[in-house]
Amino acid sequence: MKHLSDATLQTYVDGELSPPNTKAAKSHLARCANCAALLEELKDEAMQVCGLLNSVMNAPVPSARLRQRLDAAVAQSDVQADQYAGDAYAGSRSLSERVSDYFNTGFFTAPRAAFAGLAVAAACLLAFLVVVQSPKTVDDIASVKLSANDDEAFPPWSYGVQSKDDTDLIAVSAPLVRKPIATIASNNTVRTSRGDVGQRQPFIRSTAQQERNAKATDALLPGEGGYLNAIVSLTNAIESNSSESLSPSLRAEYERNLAVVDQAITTTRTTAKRNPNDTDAAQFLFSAYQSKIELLNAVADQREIAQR
Amino acid sequence: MKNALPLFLVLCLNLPPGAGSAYDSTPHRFVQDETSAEEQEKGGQTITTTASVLVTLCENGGAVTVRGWERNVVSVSNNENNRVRLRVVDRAGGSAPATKVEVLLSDSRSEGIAERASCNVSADIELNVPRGATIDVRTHSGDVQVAEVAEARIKTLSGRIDVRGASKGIDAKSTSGDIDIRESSGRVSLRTITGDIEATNASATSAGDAFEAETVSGEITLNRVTHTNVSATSVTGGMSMTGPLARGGRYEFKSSTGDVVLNLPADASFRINARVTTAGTIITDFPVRYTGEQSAPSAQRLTGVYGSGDALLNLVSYNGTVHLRRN
Repeated sequence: MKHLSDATLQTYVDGELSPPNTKAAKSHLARCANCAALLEELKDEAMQVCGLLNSVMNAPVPSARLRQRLDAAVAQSDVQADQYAGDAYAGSRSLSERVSDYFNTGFFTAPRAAFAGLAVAAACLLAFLVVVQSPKTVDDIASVKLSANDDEAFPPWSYGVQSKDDTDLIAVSAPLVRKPIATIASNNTVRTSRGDVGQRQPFIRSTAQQERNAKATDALLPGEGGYLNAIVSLTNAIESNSSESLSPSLRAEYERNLAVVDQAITTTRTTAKRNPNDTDAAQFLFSAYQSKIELLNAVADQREIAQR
Repeated sequence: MKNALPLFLVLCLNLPPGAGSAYDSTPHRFVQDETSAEEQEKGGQTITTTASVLVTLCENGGAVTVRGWERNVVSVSNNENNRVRLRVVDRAGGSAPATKVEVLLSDSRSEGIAERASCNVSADIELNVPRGATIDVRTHSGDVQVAEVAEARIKTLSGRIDVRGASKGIDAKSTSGDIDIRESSGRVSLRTITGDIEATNASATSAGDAFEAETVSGEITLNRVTHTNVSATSVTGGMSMTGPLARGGRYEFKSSTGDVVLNLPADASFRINARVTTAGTIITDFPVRYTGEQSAPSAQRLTGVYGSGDALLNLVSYNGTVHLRRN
């Protein structure tokens, strides 16, 4: 029996399948438990995304009168700003004209210009350091992308954004995570969603589907946040150092296992979400998370081993 | 003769450290220092140890074979002579037998033998250790075979783990390799991600000894495991157990999508809590007396007693089958 493709299922969920194809899909779904289960997952995801977008979609559109009042208020505030600046012509003059005035009035003497230049350079340096040093969140990691290579060559990163309640959740169920002792990386170029370019190849990468999951996962299960935090910590540690690398065979081995674990997490998470009061369902999920943590720990171990 | 004394002094000063105890014929290859009084065999080394010595080994690839023997001596050899040596990490006293021994390996490209452990070297290693020894092996891709020791702690990435005759306990972790243990006793903890787990003839040595097996996608097969506390978890794989139940034993078998199959003798006696979802099925060859709170058992949940209810079975399979077979 030929199964429905992901694209077909997604189109079916979106209600954009042609009538004959819809009929055929319905017929298949009635006979195929696998495709029916996949359909349920897609529907769950769609519901979660809708839930997140509800506040935006339901927001009232401004009426014409409201728009006029807003425009008037904006114009008024502009006038006040001009008056505060003490420039009677500001409202009718362009920015470039006002900037050139500064230089023509002798305000920018040579020492002042040098001081201003230094201040701007220092501010830029500070901003750069803040961006570079800021730790990654789950969301950041979920959006790491390779600049090249096959999109499907790497296992998906998955699951969730950090919740404000995570600290409480850690106390509920703290995963067994060791202090990360090591890092790995290869020399391939990486481009992140922030535009960073480096010589790092993330061990874990995302797919568009997993990113959607991450953004849609507004409600973490109790105890899930602790595992996610631990995974983020380990992933940060693994990706933070580009001085060591895994051999291709080891890397392939880890990636293969990571894909299996991520698939297990996807499966068990769906089950746990459907059975929120079932401790066994949650245990399966946490067991899968724990396996991922152990796997990442094993990756981290490589540096220690390599340095011996 | 007048120049003989300075020449002698120069020769003495050029000797490498430890040369007074043992120095082999290969230039710059220091073989043995603190174990100089002990037996050295071709292609390896031996060190006198306590009966309960801890032996550690870390390597990249290559097969590791460990056998227990009656002597209180650790012996090591490998496929390429002189690339391996033993280092005493700790001993009970000044010249007392070693209590902790480390196996050191050197890369074939390097001169001499490393003075500290390197996990990047690949070599086939054969170790003989006292039967009371504890073995701690870490390897990436090599298979590990251990027989007749007290305790085995093994961690490997893709290698297969085989343990026979461990008398005090086993802690085996593999990422993708299979784990197979036989005729062993004590506490047992087996974990793998994609590998299979098989245990045959395992028993406890004390009341607190538990048997734990966990895998993400592999299969778990238990034959005659007589611990009183047995748990097996597989996220997507199935599991089966064959053999009698321990009196007062507690058995937890859980799989998210795999089957849970118990092959029990006809005289088995147990209480059972079995659960599946609508996608799963519960099948039992035993006429279990229903003891659930509901008026009648459901197709997804079975709570009951068979016999006098000596052992407790907690069985969960979300999307698979729970099957109690009578042998």
